[in-house]
Amino acid sequence: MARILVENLNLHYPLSASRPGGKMSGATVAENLIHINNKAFVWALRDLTFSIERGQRVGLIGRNGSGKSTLLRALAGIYSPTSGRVLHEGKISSMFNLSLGIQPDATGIENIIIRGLVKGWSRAEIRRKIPEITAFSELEKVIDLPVRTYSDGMRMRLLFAIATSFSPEILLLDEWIGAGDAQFQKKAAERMEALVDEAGITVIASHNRNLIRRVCDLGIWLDNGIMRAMGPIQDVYQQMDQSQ
Amino acid sequence: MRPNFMAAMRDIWGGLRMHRIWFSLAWFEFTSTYRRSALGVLWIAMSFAAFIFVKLIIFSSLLSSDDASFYDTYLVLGFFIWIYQMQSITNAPDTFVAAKGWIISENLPLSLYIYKSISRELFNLVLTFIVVVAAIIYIGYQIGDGVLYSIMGLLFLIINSFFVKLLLGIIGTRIRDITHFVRAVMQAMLFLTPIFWLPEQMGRLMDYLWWNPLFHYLEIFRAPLLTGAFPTQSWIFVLSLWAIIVAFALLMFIRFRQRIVFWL
Repeated sequence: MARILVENLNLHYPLSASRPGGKMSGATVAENLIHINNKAFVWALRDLTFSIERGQRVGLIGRNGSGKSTLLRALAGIYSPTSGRVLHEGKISSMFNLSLGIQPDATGIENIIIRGLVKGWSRAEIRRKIPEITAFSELEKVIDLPVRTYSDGMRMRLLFAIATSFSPEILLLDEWIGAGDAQFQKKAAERMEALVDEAGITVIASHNRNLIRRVCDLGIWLDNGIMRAMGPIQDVYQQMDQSQ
Repeated sequence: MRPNFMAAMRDIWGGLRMHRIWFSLAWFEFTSTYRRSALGVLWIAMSFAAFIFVKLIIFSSLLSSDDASFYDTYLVLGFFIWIYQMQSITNAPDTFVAAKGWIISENLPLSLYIYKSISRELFNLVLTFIVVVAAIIYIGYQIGDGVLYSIMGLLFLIINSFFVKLLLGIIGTRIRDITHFVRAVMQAMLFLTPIFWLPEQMGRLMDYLWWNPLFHYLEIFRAPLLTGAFPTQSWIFVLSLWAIIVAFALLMFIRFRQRIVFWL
């Protein structure tokens, strides 16, 4: 049964080390800077406490550099909390960026196998899934070509199809919807709804209000690493708009 | 410290158990590197063969040894291990940096990326080994009866490379100069290690050159095959050095494991 529990989550990372995948702008960095033993740290997440229950679809919203991607990575267990804790029950599947976790020189099929193995599936189980993933991503003609030759839209379709095919209980998506045409977005939204029906959890970080409104029922508003609001998505957007 | 220690051990053990993942990653990387060339991975064997062929011609005539087949075999075996060690050590500081895309998008044990690079290098080793066997048969040298000792030596080198990669991988992620430093050092080491020359030829200089660890890494594999002897001194040296490397590598891994992702 899927569940995410976050208790007093704080996350610092050293300023001298460049953080991967982050988009923290100069202005936000200065506001978030703290000093411990004369060393500068960025306080990326501050004392977050919340829980996400089965069947909930949560949109992470907030300005660039507010900590959305960092929180997603903390939920996935990639970033360890400086203090506090993150607990999750259920198999996690994540999609952070179109170029991550993919071997560009390997073929579409090989990438399906690699990502399936990473998710803990056996080769036989993966082989059974390949036709479905290929069909859903509409890549039948190019699945034996290296992924390097794919367009952004094709990569996105492949990654999304893989991420959602191995029955994840918790699906974490970061700004993934940029690529892909309207028709595929519709298909993707339907699939996410189906996943939630199987009692999963979806967390999406995005600036795309239409997408978030359509897919999510709850919202978490992050501002400089602080959780300003959590609740029904319409209310959270309203609070965010009123404060600006 | 205690929970961090347990987590570090879980990482190393858990990563090893995910052999299907790291083996596949290494295999797809290995095959896709040569995908668009007609001869593919055979290039690894052929470039190695060309290299030792040229070296045999030049150095054999340079050193008019009494026993040419001994020297030729010495060179082939030495160069075989050298190529493996050079790849293994120069790739080490980049272990985690090269896997950045995976580390920041998947919650997998960090040791998995070390196992991946080791198996990637072993694919190369197997291909060059075929050339070594062919070369020794061609040279016609009767190898010593220390084959088991040599296998032990090779296995030790593989296990050793895990800890070298762990240590240099952590340092190299934090301090990016290490990659270039290691590369520069290894270039010089080619001439400071007895591959083309014999230790006996160096006289007093060997008292200093003896402290080169790469000499002993070579000896534990090469000496038993050449003469059948068990290189006791070299084993003492490599095992002592190993203990130091393991201690430092584990201490750093226990201390910094969770921070490596922020350094990438």
